[in-house]
Amino acid sequence: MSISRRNFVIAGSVAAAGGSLVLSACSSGGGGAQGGSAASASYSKVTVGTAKDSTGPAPEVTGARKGGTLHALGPDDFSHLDPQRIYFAWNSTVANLYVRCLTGYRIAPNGSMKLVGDLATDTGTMTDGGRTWTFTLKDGLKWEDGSELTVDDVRHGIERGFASFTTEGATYVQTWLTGSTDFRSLYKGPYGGKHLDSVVTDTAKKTITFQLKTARPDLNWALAMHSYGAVPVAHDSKEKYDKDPVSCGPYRIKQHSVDKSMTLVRNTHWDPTTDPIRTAYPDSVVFEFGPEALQATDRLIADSGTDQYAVMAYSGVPAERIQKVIGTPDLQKRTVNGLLTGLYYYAINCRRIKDVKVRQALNHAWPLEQIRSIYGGPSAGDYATTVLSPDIAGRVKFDVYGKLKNPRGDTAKARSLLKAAGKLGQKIVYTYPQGGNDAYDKTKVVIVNALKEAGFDPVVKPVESTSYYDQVGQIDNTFDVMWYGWSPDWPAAYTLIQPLFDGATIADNAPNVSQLNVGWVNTAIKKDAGIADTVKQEAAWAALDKEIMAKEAPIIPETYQRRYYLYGTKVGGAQFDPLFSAFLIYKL
Amino acid sequence: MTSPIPSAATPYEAAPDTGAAPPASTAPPRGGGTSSPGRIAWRRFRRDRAGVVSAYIVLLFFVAGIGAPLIAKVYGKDPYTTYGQNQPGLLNQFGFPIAPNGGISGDFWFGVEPQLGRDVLTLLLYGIRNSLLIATATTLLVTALGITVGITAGYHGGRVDNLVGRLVDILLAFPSTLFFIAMWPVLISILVRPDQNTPTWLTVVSLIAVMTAFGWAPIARLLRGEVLALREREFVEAAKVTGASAARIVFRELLPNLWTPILVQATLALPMYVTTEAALAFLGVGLSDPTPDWGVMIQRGAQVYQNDITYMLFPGLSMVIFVIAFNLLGDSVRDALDPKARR
Amino acid sequence: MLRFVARRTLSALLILLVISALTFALFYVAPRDPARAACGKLCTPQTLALVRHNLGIDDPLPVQYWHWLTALFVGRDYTGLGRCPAPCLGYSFTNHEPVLGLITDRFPTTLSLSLGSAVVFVLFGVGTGMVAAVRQGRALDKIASSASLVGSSLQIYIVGVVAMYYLSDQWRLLPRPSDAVGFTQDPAAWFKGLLLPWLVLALIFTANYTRMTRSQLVETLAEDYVRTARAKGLGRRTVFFRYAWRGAMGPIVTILGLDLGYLLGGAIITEETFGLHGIGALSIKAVRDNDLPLLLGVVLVAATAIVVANIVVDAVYAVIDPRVRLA
Repeated sequence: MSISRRNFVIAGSVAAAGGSLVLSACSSGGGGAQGGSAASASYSKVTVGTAKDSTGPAPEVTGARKGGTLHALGPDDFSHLDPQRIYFAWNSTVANLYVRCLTGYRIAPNGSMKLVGDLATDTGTMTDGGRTWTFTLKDGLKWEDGSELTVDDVRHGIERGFASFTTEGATYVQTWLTGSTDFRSLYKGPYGGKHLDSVVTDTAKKTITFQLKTARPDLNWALAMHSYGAVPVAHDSKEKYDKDPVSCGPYRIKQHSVDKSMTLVRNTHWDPTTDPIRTAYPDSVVFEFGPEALQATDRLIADSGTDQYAVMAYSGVPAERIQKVIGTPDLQKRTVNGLLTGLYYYAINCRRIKDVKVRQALNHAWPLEQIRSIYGGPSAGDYATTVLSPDIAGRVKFDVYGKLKNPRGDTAKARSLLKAAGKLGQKIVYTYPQGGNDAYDKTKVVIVNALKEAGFDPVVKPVESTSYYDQVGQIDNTFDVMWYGWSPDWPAAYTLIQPLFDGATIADNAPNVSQLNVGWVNTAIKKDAGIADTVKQEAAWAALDKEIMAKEAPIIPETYQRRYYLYGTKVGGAQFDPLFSAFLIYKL
Repeated sequence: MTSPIPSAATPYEAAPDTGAAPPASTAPPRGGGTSSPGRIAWRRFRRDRAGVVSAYIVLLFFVAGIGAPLIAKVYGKDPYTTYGQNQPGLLNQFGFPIAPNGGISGDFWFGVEPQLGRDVLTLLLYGIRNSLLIATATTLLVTALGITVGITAGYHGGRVDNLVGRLVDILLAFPSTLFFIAMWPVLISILVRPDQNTPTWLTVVSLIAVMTAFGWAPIARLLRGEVLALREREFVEAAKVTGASAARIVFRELLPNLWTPILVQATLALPMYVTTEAALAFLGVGLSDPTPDWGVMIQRGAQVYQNDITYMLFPGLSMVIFVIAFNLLGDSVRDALDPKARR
Repeated sequence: MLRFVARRTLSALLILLVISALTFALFYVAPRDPARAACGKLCTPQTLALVRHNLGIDDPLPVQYWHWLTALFVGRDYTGLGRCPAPCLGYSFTNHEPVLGLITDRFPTTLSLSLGSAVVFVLFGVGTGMVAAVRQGRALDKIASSASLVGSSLQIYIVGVVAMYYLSDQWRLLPRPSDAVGFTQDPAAWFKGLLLPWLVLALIFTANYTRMTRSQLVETLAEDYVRTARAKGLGRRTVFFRYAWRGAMGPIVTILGLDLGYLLGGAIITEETFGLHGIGALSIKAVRDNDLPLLLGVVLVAATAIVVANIVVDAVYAVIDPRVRLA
């Protein structure tokens, strides 16, 4: 029922249901999701694979059967099918089936991820310290009509990212290629007949070279985003491609009726030997849109008819059912769960709260345990203490403010810090999105209590969820502490730390809502991003993470949220997608 | 009121005033006599057993609401302390009461609220208090506004009447529920300085104002019709001929004959605004935590009912009982004032 | 009659015009920016401006409204998306589907919900009302009257939730509400999915019909023409169905028309309670997604349903009850 939708979706509705999602590609089970037993899925480790890892076919999945029809239930239709307009995780759930990029993630049964070449033979060759990248295409790549997939199509996918209608997609590569965030003023997309100078293809149509304005040792990670998927030059229908994309993956879209259903069937021109990632066992996949998370859960619990072959496409088991699902052994066997990638946190407005001591006091005072118990206790997620989430390569766990030892918050410590700063009675304007997830209406109560106890003067200013991100995104907003969340676009520290703390990115609607603009942080970000050696780079980011939290305290990390999914009895090989926080449909 | 969505804009749409429930005004029992019509009605009312019982129930709710602080003091709890969060052993790790039936115990007579762990009894009492306050105020305002506009339009006729008629049509066709959801947060953000807490009284006043703005139309339309009919009656004509002022005609001649429909409409309106307020709370419009509210409790109950049906039942059942009692009371009042309408 | 309908239609159009303009104006009172949603995670001012242009919301408000209004009558050309033919409600901001299509997609659910429950509550309400009227003052009448009062005091967001918990989840008597299957696909599944909402809606709505039928019948049975008919020696049944019933029907048609108008416009709380996906749920979605074209569309549908219901009711009333003259 839809009450659960209101409760579950908003972080969700914001994310899953489309809406004004700004933050996470993979937002959330909101305050609703709760679970019982200790999490079974461990944090995934990300590595870069070799050329051998990049050759197909993908390793067999134990327990999976070939053939049949897989049913996937989801409350809302996908908002975009055009790869260049896909950013949010739930769209990627389906894009995985028909979109291929130069690179991609091979996910092992234990949840660990490996970046491999998908269309490319490997994860690319970096020269010039990361300014030039070259990829070679595999042989035997074909579109669903049997025509050959060439580097022109790959380049077309990149160039479409500059078009005026692909505003929803990622912008990293465009920015790096042109050296400007206003890249559309420099290149208008492929429809004027001009190509980008900085993307070079060879005459054999096999290799593609990117010439970047700055060193980007992580270009191959960015290129794994579906926003950079290949699109056939011959079949590009511009805006209308969103309704009718052409497949180069294992499935093609056979039928799609908006908000109702979508049927994907095998793409006979897809060659499994070119694909190291997707196993593609079912003959067809049918998405059914409409059932809310609760309805879907109930149908899967009942497990009758085609629902035996069904999975929850991207909405997890809602709070109303989690106790039952986790508490019933037969049902628990049929779940997968995992942490959502990314971080939920409270951004402290550094433009208004200039005194670091006050920001540290806020961190000490924040009642994490009370907040999480409103979300549903330990099964709702793990306490966060770092900026980098556990799935980020090279992340090191630390706990500057003793939140793991004392998750209820240390109001005495906070008070003494405030006193030392001479800021007792400091007014704190706290804001959260209202009207979506009622949990925030509850957490506000415990937050206010804790802040009062610590000697703050809390003022609560909820903002309507539909305009929440617009308002906290304004530079001159009047909020001190803002509920927020962010998920990385690829499991590297850069995609968390740079957008959130680079002082240069401060602008209206930019993600640096803390508005932290500190010289040494800005320099460090620039420096770390350019380190060519992966291991050294990861270590540098982890150190910077800790340093930012200890010295600047621009945010109060809250939780890494957890989500549970249920599947039918006849479904084999179910696995949690650590990247998009849903089922790995292509593995079932 | 039968609409599943008690929209404030169309409170009586299901019992349209177009002659469906004719509030008798045929024989204006005016003035004088040994036994005033009021007294006759009162005597008639007292003989109606169902009416008297429901009157007591309604009274009980009002007393409980008004006396909430006193009751809470005697009972020793308040609706703001998060007992479940502060004392271990009340809520489990999922945030639900550990004891069966929503955590009912000697300490917490109606159980503990899930998640925040507040005391349900005091929460309900204060919720009833706030809801009744809002509903009563709205009813009074709607009735007053409806009377003013209705009589003005009916008495003046002509252009004023036309204008009011159009306005009423627009209001009745306006999807007000949707409007509330879309505009409520905006309204609040306009009214309050961005770095100030939104005072609860402001929320309450805004809620009352918005419900009133959308609620006066039906009652105005009804009274306009009544006045149109009355205007042609001999006693009004007579008053006009004798040169009575407009004010005198309205207050001395028209109003006394309108009290029956007004009272009937008002008794119908009050429970309707209790449920309207709850329906809006169900959609997230109106008061919010930590201010206790009947509707907010039901909304919360509707979310957690799978794990804690008790938390749904207390506010839900009490509201059903209240509305039934009030409607029965309204029925009896109508019978007493206007026996022809029913038997 | 024709003049009446024409006149009322004209004033209805005026009402709809005002309501749409009002919705339009009020939408922008809020500090919201529908462009934000289509601007990606790393939104830059340049991209935001581009999205605003793409959505056509960089024009001044009156111009936007004028575009919307003219599109309704003559259609509109959208760059990239092609022509949207005449009655064009525009494209949804969020998924760029034609708003009209989104609404017609959701309409079957709303229609099923409204008509299905109407069948139940009219049959049941009128039936008990008739019995109560015939057995006036006796036990059956009293039971029917008080039951109807209790019914009309119930709230869907209370009864619906409690009914779902006990009837579907705990005792498994009725299937959980669902509108996944359309009538044309599988009538049995369609019926099962909507049974609970129908019954709960009927429980609440029936009361009015019982009361109305009863009081109207009691009144008409006492009317002179009915008494005359009876005095002429016509049978009880004949009198009842041919004379009394006809006179009582008018008000019942009236409330039925208004109820249907309301339900067809989208029953937000009903759909929210049972998790159905009709016009009501669509309007919530429109609000939540800052989707102005969709919001205007659903507002228009809801208002039209109410306005049309009013006209139809008045016209039908005149046909049934010869005493009423149309002005």
